[in-house]
Amino acid sequence: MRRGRVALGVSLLGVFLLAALAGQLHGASGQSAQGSGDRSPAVPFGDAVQTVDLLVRGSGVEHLGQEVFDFGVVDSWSLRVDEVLFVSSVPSMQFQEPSRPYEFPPVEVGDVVIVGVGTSPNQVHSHRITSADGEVVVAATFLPLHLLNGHQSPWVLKFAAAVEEDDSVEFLHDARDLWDEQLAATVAELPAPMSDLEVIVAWVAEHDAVRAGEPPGAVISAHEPATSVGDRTRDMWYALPARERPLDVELTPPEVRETLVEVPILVDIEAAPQREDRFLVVKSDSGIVHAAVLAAGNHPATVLASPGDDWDIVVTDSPVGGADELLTSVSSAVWEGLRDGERLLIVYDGTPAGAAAFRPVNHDEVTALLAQWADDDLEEAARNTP
Amino acid sequence: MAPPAPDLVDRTSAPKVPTSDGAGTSSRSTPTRAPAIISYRIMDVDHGWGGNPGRPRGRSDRRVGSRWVVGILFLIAAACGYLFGIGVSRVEAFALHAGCPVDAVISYKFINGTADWTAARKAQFDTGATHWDDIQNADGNAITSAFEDPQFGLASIVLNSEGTASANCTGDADTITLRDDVTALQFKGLSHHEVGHAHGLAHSGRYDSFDSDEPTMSGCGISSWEIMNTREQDDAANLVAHFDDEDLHAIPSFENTGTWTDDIWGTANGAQLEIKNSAGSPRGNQHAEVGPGGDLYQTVRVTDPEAMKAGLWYRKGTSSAETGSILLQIRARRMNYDVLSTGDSCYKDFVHHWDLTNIGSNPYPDGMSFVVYKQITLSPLATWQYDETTTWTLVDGWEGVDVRVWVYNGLTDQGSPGKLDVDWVRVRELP
Repeated sequence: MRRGRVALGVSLLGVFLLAALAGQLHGASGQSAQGSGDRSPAVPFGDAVQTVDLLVRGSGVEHLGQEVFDFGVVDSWSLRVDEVLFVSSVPSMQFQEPSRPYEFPPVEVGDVVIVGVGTSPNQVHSHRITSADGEVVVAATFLPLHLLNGHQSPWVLKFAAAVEEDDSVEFLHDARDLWDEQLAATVAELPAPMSDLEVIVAWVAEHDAVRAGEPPGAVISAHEPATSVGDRTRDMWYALPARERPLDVELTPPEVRETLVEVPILVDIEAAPQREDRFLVVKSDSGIVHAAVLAAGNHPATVLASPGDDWDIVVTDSPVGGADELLTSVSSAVWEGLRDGERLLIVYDGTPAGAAAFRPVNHDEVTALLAQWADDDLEEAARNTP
Repeated sequence: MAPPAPDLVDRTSAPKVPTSDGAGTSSRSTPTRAPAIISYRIMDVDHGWGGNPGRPRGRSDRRVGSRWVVGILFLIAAACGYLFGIGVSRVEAFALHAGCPVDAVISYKFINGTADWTAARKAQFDTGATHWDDIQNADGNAITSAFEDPQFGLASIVLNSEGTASANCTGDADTITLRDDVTALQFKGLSHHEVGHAHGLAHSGRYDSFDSDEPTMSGCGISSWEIMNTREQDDAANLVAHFDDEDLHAIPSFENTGTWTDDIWGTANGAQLEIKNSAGSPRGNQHAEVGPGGDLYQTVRVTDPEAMKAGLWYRKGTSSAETGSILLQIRARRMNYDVLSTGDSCYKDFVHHWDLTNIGSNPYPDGMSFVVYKQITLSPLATWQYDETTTWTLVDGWEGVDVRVWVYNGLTDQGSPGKLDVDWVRVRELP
């Protein structure tokens, strides 16, 4: 037993020393932790509205207490119903397989309803009704009581928000900033102006309709583009000045991409100007055709270009926004006139006069150049091998 | 003379520094970067120490040996390993700093929490949990394995009636808590996400996947839990880097087949990509045939870059009559990739996260275009060869980078564009 303790001590010492060493090397302070924090993602508001079975406007919120479980706590609140805003036609959840039919307990104006919510010790974000004053809007999911432990009613709190006179809402949620942002983005995408509360009511109703087989409505349709990551690249591409847009196999929006043509080129950068901090860039009015750091050396490339564009070949200290030094311009007739098997050879010799030459080269010349470059790379690799 | 051949040891099965006693209670990661890296490699110690290289590794492989010997070995090997770059990952490209240790094998059992499990919910969890298991390493072996073990399952999967979804790694076993007040699709997505944590993955950012789809491991700001059902390029690359030390790409080899492979690899200049079965491939049993002529590429988004190389296995195509040269390139663009520490509990512990506020400002300080940074021209033979570019050392201060590996096929076959066989096309971060 004692031996085991000593061994464990050695091991822990190893952990400590190693962490200290790493911390010293990286300038970081060592820490240890016995457990991770919660790693759950924040609740996306667009998901929260999908499983709302009851939406009421109410007041007189009272916290009924908290029940502690091994895996967290369950809080319960009561509130008086001032307006029933929405009740789903069928439960949003499917509990058993095959699904059993469930009926909601009726909820009417003047009723006092109880809603509960569970929270784990490490939970990042919590839904709770923190405001007992004024009017609130409360959304709940129906779950059969026999599946719930520690709950006083089958209404599980989905979200709550304080309601202002103009029907704007303020979420009572730890991630309220995120939710406000997601709601605002969706509202902004709607074709006609609506208040926050109107949007929420319409949103949950649309999901109820979708469960019944209807197509997505205006709010669901607005939410998707408002939160889509996929549109970011497209938005950024269009937001750039035309001459800074990359003409690229993955970055150019498809509707533009299909108007571009592939052009085979060879870039020959003499050894003298091969620097890490200077770039050779081929620019056009439709965007950047090609960019390479001078240190990259000779290389072939298949570039995309817009028909009719002349190219400017520049050397610069930054691919965008740098001090461009124009080497030469290539008429569109030159690169559009390339025949099968030909490539446009661009040669930059790095002379102080700052010039670049270009000419079409045929298949045999391409093959010879590539073979020469392969030999050069082999020689360089041999020189760099200890 | 060609550069030296790479280390062909499967890094997923290479010996790692052993643990003290396997109890794992001291193996929890820290939120600070460097110690977290160390704990990832050193404290998660039971992976493959004498194990079967073809099998996912995990807690079930644990062996308790002499604690004295193990403890001393641990100290010496860990220090030497770190100082000399042996067995200690330098890959910081993805969200490696998870709260859970790196566990390839997850055995789990279902526990009723504030809600009771149903058969439907269990099936939904199984679907999400095992979705990681079809990601293969460069040799075609599954990287992870998740399965139910009602009696001895080490991970407890707890169902709550509402409000909770988490992966919590206190003690020897994980506790994954899932909320019941969600749809079936959302539940599968959350299960996929939380088991990703149990495998050791931390949160990634909403904009981390170069394919512009939100990653399964995305944390705050994710637009929908349902999208977590779809594993994205960033998730796969994250897992590959976790268990392979160096590879930065989602598919460094060609063992993963199907539509997903096609989504990851791109072709240009008229190239066709065909996955070939071949027992003689350098890595696994499949390689790619690129041709006739044309280009092959893959792009990945990484953070905290330092230095990297591109490398590939290659040979002439099927006829072996091809002549000419090929080219391997690293293309890249610099990114602003700030660490958020706004005080929001959603972000404050994240090491890597693309600052959402940068999206509308200037995410690419050197422009949006990809720039050629490194390249090497090669002349294939009829037999497999491996070559790499020289090292690309990134400029200090680069917070993130989109890296594209690009293969240009300039081979000809009797005057027409020829075919090229490639395998293990990758950009690797240098150890």
